[in-house]
Amino acid sequence: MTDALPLIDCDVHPAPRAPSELLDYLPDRYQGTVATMLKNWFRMNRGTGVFTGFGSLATGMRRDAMPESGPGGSDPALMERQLLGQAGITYAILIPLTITGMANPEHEAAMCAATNAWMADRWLGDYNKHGRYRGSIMVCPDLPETAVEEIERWAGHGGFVQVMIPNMARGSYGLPQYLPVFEAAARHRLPVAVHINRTPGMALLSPVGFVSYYFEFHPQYTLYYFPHVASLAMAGVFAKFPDLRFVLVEGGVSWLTPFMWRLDHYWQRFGSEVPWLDRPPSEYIRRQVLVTTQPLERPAETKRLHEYIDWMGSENMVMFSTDYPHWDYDHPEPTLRRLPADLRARFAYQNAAHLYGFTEFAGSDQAPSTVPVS
Amino acid sequence: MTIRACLVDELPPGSSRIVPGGRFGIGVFNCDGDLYAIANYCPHDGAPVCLGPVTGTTQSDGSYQASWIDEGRILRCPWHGWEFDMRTGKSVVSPTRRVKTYPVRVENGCILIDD
Amino acid sequence: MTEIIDAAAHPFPANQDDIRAYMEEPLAHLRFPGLDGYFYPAPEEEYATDLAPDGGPPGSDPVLAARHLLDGAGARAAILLPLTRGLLPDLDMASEVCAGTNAWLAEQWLEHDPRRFFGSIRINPSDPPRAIQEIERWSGHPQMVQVAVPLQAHQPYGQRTYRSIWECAAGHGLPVAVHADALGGNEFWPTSVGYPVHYVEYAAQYPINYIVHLMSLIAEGVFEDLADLVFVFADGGIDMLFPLLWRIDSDWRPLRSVTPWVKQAPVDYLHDHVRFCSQALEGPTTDAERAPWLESVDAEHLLMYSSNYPSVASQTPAAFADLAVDARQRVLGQTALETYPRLRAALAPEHQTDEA
Repeated sequence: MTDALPLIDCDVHPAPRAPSELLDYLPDRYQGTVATMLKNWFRMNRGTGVFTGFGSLATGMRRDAMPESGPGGSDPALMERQLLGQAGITYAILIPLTITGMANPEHEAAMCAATNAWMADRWLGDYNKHGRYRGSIMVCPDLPETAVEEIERWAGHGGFVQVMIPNMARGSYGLPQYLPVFEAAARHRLPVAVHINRTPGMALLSPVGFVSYYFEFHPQYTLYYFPHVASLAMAGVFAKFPDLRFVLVEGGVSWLTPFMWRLDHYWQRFGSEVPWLDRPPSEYIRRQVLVTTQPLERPAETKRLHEYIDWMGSENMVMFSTDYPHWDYDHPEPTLRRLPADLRARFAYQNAAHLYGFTEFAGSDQAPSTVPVS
Repeated sequence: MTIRACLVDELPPGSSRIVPGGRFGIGVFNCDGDLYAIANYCPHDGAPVCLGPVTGTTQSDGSYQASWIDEGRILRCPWHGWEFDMRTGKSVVSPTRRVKTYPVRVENGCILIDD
Repeated sequence: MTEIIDAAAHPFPANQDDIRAYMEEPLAHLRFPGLDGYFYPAPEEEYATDLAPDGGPPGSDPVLAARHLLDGAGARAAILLPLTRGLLPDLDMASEVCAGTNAWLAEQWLEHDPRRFFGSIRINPSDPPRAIQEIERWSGHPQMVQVAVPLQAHQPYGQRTYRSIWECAAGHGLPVAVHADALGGNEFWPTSVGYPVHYVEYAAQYPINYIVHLMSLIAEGVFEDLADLVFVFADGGIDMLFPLLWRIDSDWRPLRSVTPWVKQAPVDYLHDHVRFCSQALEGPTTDAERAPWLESVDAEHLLMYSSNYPSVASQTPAAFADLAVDARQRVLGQTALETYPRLRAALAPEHQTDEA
């Protein structure tokens, strides 16, 4: 069944072999104090970034995806073999997770700039001879002007198919200070993906306190998207940029259905505060928000998941992802077989093809000829 | 059918190897002198389960109480970390799920798996 | 004829002095947030002004409330859940507001209609010894059927500091209801990225935070250890339950060994330990999807009809007209009778119901 389907994997995490690999790409404008501080930071944290403190299993990676040296996702040959080969992925949208909680937005912006340059040279360059990788322009939204510059810098590259922002910002994304970022993305016809960044401290504080265990913490990824979706809707950002699309990564699928209902109910009852919305929030969300499948919910009865998908009211909102090389990786076959049969092709590749401009799939359900992979 | 896995001397305690057999290969383990043969296929999502660590697990008599047990008898899948008791093949968290196990024996210094 | 139990209605004092009259010195004279201490004002009225008596806020007159809640809705009984004033910084003040609220409720409401009004024992979970004292104080009152705590907290409710309180409640056959107070005290911000700007954003999201308490009660072994403990999420949230719980389940399985005292899959704790009050503002916006949705969320085991009187977004029993008759009976009253042993006992011998 899945052999016949092209697969566009909308959440793959390449990594530098070592911090130095990344820091070599720090642009000139960040040399000096910023470069020194970042080098010290990586040295102090032994290259792993700051830990959230939760006792999860080992490194957070699939154990068989660890190269001889370097972290998971840092060996292009291994990624090709496992992701493009064994998992049968046709195209992969790369989302590097090189940003982890930095107090100084300048440092975060510097890391974004280094990451984008590194991606352009390596994963969209040297490692992309097969042409099956696409990338995400990382930006720090809390320095909006710098973020816009970074978008301008890479928008024309062709290998970058979206902008990427973290969930943890200094406010919800409907706030006016973030508008320039979305304006730039919209102008360049780039979707905006939101991915979770993990950082210790106040970012881990839920509204009712700090949780104790990893299996309480990890599901909160879904909760992190609620304020952003609500805010983008109610502040009228969706309305202002009707062609802009948002991709919510690693938040799951089925939550969006009852959340849209909620926003509609509350808007209907208490919506006089937001008169610039001329239609229910769910109509904007249906048009402009997509979610990636990993980690796909697994109710004991799969039909329960199908109900939520059916009630979503749109076939265009879900895109397949694996989250390779993380430990909670969703392998294609067991994931796709749990999706509704009549929507499998849409979710496996068609929605992503449409969003990210893979024109070879336009108007076609045929699988492309696959590039041989060693 | 009988599969010749390897010589006993090639699998000292604490070691393992994957040998051809079945549909996915078979992992042979020497845990403190006890031999186990397990199909290299996790019932959860089909991961190569035998690439995971051999470890122990925990049991509990009440909140916040955890004892470490079964050291060297638990195979943890390298993908999603499901724990399998190598003696029975059963998943610790979902005992109705199991990895396929094979009878394994030693004959003339050779480790044999019966499929 | 379906026996209707209204699992959550909210009585209000006419003014703060009504509560103060039941508080003790040296705290009774001190200032605490008033009834109008709402951090987020609603753009329209949150409470139905047409339900207000002369000279009082909506929901402040037991006579009117009985007429609306009971006679009007055809309810056999209503469980009254008064709000308190948030996480007050002085723990003794927070506890005293609870104590005063309980005494006010007992005298002004429960005495008014002993056969049909039932109540909640408000406690301050941040002060376990005092909370236990308050439970013990009211546990003998035949109309008090549950304990009530705020949704707001500084620590999720499964954590160790609270354990003795839940043991006490469960020992007395008292479920614990969780309901948001207005943000009048030292609460954390309501989302992971701070304060939403618009009321709609806040109001739609805030109740969903019950899921953190629920995960905690499971993860820390509270439900495992206390077989009789039931938590009632009175702000609702059954709509968001399964999408989140399925994910929690997938995370628990690999990590079982970290919390081996959690002996069941998270989803398997629901029937014995978790209930939700129904809400008008959750669930499908299309009528046709409502009955299949109620079936999908296991409403017949987990959901209890509540009016949320005097909210403008009040629900009536008609909201469940589409359900098959057995499921409807359960949602409208049967599940509440099984969940609240004291309610069942008070309404016996009219109800010879089996134990849940």
